[in-house]
Amino acid sequence: MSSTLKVFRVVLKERYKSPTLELIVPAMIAGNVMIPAFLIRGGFQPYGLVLSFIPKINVSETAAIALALRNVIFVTGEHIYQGFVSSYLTMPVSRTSFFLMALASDVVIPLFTFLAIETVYLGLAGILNPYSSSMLIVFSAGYLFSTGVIYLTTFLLKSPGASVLTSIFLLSAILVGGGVGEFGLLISKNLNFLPLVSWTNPYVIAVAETLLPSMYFGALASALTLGVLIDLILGALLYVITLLYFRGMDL
Amino acid sequence: MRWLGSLLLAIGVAFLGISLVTFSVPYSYTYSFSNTLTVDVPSFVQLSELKVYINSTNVTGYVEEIEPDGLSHVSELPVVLYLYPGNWTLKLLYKRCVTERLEVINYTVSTNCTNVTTQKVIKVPEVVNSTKAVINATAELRVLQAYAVGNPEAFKTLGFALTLLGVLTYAAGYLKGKR
Repeated sequence: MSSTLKVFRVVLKERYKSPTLELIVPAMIAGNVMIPAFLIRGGFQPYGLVLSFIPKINVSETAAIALALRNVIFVTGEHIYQGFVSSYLTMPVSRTSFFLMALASDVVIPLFTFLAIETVYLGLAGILNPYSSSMLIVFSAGYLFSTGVIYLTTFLLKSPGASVLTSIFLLSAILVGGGVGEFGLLISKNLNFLPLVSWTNPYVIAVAETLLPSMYFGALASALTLGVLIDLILGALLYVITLLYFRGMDL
Repeated sequence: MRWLGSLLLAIGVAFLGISLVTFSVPYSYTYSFSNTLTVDVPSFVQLSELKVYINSTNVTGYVEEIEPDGLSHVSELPVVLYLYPGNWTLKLLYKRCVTERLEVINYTVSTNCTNVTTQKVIKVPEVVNSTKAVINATAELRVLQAYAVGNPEAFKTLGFALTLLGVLTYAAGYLKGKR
């Protein structure tokens, strides 16, 4: 157990060298000023809050994704491309536990940092309500799915540039294409197909639900819940596929 | 030790920065409602005013304001409310409509020889009271001053303390490493 912890410490130290957290954590804290700004612009209505939690608008979410992207592609990925990973595997750990350690320090720690900062900030600003907490859950599901895609492309393509471009293009295509499709379904009032595509971009549904609550009467909440569940399941599936691939990989 | 110091310093500076942010540009947001309006004022908003009015000229609207602490009072529109943080509920509950009705009355004029009865059309003012409002009211919200956090003074103190603690921790780690 203690040797596993020692290896985990090495893995952790490599990802969070001195100026990493010092740059990311203040950016996450200060990026929260967007939330009150959007809430004031939206007249304290829930959709202002929901809008401020869309990735790329919310600086903290973007910082969390950027940190995970850098960890996966330029630390774990670099070891895979250069073959340094075999030197880690000479330490007393199995491939599975090494993968889980890398996963925890690459993906789970940025997410937990983000969630901790957001919970403290929202609590102090007095806007920790069902809307903001469900947006945190929606973001976490989308984050796990996105990092799963990045993990799989990193292990499959074995090249930093190719995996950055492929994963970013793939995720943007899913986000933008799914968002456009959902928008089309929403304005054509074709709500039956919405649960099938809601996993691609749950934010469109969240905004529609909070912008026109009298029009949908909470009918979109089930589509949103299903989308979040599908995101979580797909993310878990991608991680399992990556783990199986890593276990049988030639190094 | 040194990494902890620099992390604390960074968090402290971020706290100081976010506690100094104020949104002081007056910006108005318009709600339109016909029976109930709920405004949930977050705790980071220090001062905001809500001007409630109706556009109709022959209707007097009343609004019942339920404050976050449960007090309620009724005032005649238009009204300007100063909102403090909490959940405010406005109920547009009463309208008084003064209309004029035309009525034909018999009108008798006495002359010296005989009484002449004629008919005359007069205007009778009529007050229509209704407990259910069918008018639309407009509420204009202006946020006059808001901070980024609920209690900026406490946040500022915390940020200052964290900055100081970070510098001290970093210096302690540096000295320990040098020795």
